[in-house]
Amino acid sequence: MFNLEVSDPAKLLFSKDDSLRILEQLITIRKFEEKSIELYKSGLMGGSLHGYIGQEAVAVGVCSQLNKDDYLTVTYRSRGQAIAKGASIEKLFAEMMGKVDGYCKGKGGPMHITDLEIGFLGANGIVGAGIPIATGAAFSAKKKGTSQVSVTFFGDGATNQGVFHEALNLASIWKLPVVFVCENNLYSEMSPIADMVPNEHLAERALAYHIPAVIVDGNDVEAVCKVAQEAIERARNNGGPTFIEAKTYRQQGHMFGDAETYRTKEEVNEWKKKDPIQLFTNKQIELGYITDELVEQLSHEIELKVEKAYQFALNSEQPNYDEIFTDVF
Amino acid sequence: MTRQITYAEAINEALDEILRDDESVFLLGEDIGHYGGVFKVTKGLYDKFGGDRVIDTPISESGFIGLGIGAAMTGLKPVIEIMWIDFTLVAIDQILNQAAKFSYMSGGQSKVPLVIRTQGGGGRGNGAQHSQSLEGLFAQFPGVKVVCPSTPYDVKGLLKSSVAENCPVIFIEHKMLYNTKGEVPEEDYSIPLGKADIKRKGSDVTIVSLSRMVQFSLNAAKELEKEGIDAEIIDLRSLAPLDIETVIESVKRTNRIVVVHEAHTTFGWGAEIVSRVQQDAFDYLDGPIIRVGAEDVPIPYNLELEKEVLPQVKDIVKAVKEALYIEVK
Amino acid sequence: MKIPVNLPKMGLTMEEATIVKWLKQAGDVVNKNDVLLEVETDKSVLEIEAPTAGTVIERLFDEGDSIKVSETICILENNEKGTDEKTTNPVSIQEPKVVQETTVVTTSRGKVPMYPRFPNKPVSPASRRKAYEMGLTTEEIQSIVGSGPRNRVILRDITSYSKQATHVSQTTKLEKPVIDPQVEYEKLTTIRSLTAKKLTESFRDVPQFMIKKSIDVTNINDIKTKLSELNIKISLNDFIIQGVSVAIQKNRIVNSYFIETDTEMLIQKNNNINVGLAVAIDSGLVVPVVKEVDQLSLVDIARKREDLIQKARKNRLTPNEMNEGTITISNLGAFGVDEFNAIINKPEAAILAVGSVVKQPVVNEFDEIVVKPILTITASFDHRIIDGAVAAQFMKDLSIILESNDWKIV
Repeated sequence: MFNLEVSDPAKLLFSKDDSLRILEQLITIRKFEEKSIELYKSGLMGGSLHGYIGQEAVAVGVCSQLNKDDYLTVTYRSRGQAIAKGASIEKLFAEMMGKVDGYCKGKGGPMHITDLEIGFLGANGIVGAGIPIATGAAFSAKKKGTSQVSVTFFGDGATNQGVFHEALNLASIWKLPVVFVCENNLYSEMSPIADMVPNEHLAERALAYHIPAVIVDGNDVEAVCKVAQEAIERARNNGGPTFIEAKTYRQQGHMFGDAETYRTKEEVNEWKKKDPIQLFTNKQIELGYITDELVEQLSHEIELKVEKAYQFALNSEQPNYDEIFTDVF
Repeated sequence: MTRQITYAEAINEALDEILRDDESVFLLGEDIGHYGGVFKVTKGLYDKFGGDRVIDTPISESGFIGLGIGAAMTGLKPVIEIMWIDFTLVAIDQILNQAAKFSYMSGGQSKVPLVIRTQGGGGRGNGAQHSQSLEGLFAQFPGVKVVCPSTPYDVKGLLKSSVAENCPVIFIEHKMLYNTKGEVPEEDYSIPLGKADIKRKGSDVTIVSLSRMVQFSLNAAKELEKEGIDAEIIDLRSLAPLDIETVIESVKRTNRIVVVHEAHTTFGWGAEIVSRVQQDAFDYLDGPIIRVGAEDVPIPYNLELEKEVLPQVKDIVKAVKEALYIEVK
Repeated sequence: MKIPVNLPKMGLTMEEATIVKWLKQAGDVVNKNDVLLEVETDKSVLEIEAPTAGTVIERLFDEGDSIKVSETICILENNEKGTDEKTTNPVSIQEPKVVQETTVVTTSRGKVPMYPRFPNKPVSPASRRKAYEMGLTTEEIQSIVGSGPRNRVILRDITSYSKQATHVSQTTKLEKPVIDPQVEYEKLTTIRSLTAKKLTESFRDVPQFMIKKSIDVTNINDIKTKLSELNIKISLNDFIIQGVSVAIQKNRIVNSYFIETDTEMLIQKNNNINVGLAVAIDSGLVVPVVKEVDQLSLVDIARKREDLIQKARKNRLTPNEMNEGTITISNLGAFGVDEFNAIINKPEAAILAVGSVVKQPVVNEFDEIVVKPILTITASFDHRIIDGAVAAQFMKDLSIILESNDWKIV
């Protein structure tokens, strides 16, 4: 029923410069996520940390095809998409530390990152809750006649929540410019998704609502770019919603500290061989567009940038106590 | 110029004027378009403003409230009808986890100017899942305003103000009030939220209520008047914001207070009023504060049993006498 | 940390006190238990001590001001850190920029007036406030029978009581006193005004009758002389105290209290015989009490009495030394008064007015005229619980004892 969309190993989808920019995005997210773990371990942030390592190609692949004013809703596993959409890593770190320079002045935290400047309507603590909200933003765009597109990222587990189905149906009957991006990382929190749905492909679910659906190798950033581009084009041209199932893998636990008793080390290591950043780096080197040295230099520069952002957040002030009572309504 | 119109007609007029005056407003709900609403509140609006402004939805309360939130966050002003307040429980995540919290969680970036119109209360044998009074539930959540009008005049003026708010408003009508008539001016007017209305001046006892119970309390006051008891009737009009000052001022004059609501007595919002009054007017109380509310059982279908479960005029009369030490249990 | 110093309740009936003298100024450093000020109650002058070492940072009242029990008189500050300080956010590594605690407080209710409380009487909060505003006394409120459930005093009871009271005052007090600027006035001391109030009540409320008895104190004089040769000083009062004690044991009713509740009248039977002695001091009349006199010898009584009178003269009686009296003796013999009447010290049932000892010709059992030292005691009794015959028997027993040789000396 479905073909897994992959890129052509023999050539780049984009120009040399654009490809390098995509790689830079991927590495930025990776370095940010690695630093986040350090942050979490140092006790400077509250709650839980839900990491994105291994899934970066989905965020970058989709967001690289969006305009700044296109809308996005995501779940709590969200810093990757935020960076890919153009968020400031300074403000992200500051919010994670609950500081006044954070995106939400320290009142939202990592689960609720919001940046209306870039159409980032909010990360959500409820896995399926952002789906109808993105659908609503698409409704707005259509009603106002702008060509904006709305994208919602969610995990495989969220397809089992009622609002997923309600929103898909609404988007379909009203032909809304929304792209449903399901990041199937194989685990619904701490349980294999295979135990939770009868479908081999979650994309099948979209067909029930007459929504065009594709499955794509979520670790192949170019493949994601390609399907996203098609979906976004369809939406912009009043063609209605699209469902993308990106097959990927969460290289770490559901959250930092997860004992990961539900899978084997071997399985994780197998997937690490298909690391999206490694794959895209190797392809560019093999095709002769970049060198190891260049990648190393790029990584180093990004590391410095991430470190600088981290220091910025560290030096940011605590919010005032009177912030407690603002922004309630 | 004033004339007598019904509560339902007053809402209809308000919606008509709001749709006429504000392009960003649209109505969303089950059977509100062609059919004109199950209680005929939106009658004629579909014909007048078209299917783009008065939109029928599938039976997907979570989905279309979520959609409304997304639309509200991106510049539109949805006025959603939830046919029966009991159905808001289906969508409670979208209302209370999402709409109520976005402004705060985003540090004030996201605003959700969304009105959810619904109707509650018992009195027509609709059974346990179509007769509830849930205003207290919503009022317990910071981030939403809760309005419960009791007259045609109030319902129109308060609805116009609710649509002008920049936050979610739960606008709770009463099914038994739709056909009640009252004076409504032809001129444009609105009533600010959070201002209680003294529906009857009195000196012996303060009766606090809202929605349908205001009329019951007024009827009780008439009976009490025959016995020389002069009751003051306060219509709170909204639970959030709560105008406790008007209540405190009144109690300082009358020294006795009875709180009447159709919601279940135990953990009902009456307890909040009792607490605030004893805290702020303790030295003015001449006796215990009496609550009148529904019995703590699901609302029975049988009309006679239902009547017994819901507060009636005689219950209010009895409570007032108890508060005045005229009749002691 | 700031420590408020409140007026302690130092006796069962104490409700307020007047500041006599401040001994510490704002800014003074004090040790624990240093005396901060002296206050005068209806009974005596008391010292208020510092509950902790520290610095006096504010005096909230001046000399002459009256303060209610539990009200804060002054504020000390010690060096300890209080719990009122904000604790910092557990994940924070920096102090919050600005701590605006005031914005956190959403309801500020200001100073709550201290309306009197009635632990054993249900009084609605509104009634307490209204009574306070109208200046009704605790006794007045206690006397009201409430019309609410469980006899709760409710607003209408206070209003109708005040109407009655207004009516009474209109018929009895036709003229309001006018303050004439040409005339010199002096405000009554706390003790004096409370005495005035108490005696007025007694005079108004207690139907009292008097019985006079002349007593030959020849034997007492002989014993006194013998004892003084042994350097033991016993005064006539001491004999009277012991005599009263013995007479009461034969007539217990004289040692009772008359009590009136909302619903009934009661006789409170007192087991201990505690004899009060009226003592005039500069600021008014005080009544120190010699307690459980039936357990005491004349020597014990003399020692206790002497100690109490010395303290009374120095204004140093504690409330405990002035309460629980069951009968009172007022002796004006020292002023050469032959005989006089005294007003009962409510709720006691009797008071003895003792005149001076006068040599008088007396006809003895052999019909001879002899000269004897005669003491006249006039006793007032509460007629509500003591009838004439009972009182007469008590006076007869008292005179027999006082004329006898039968004394418990040591």
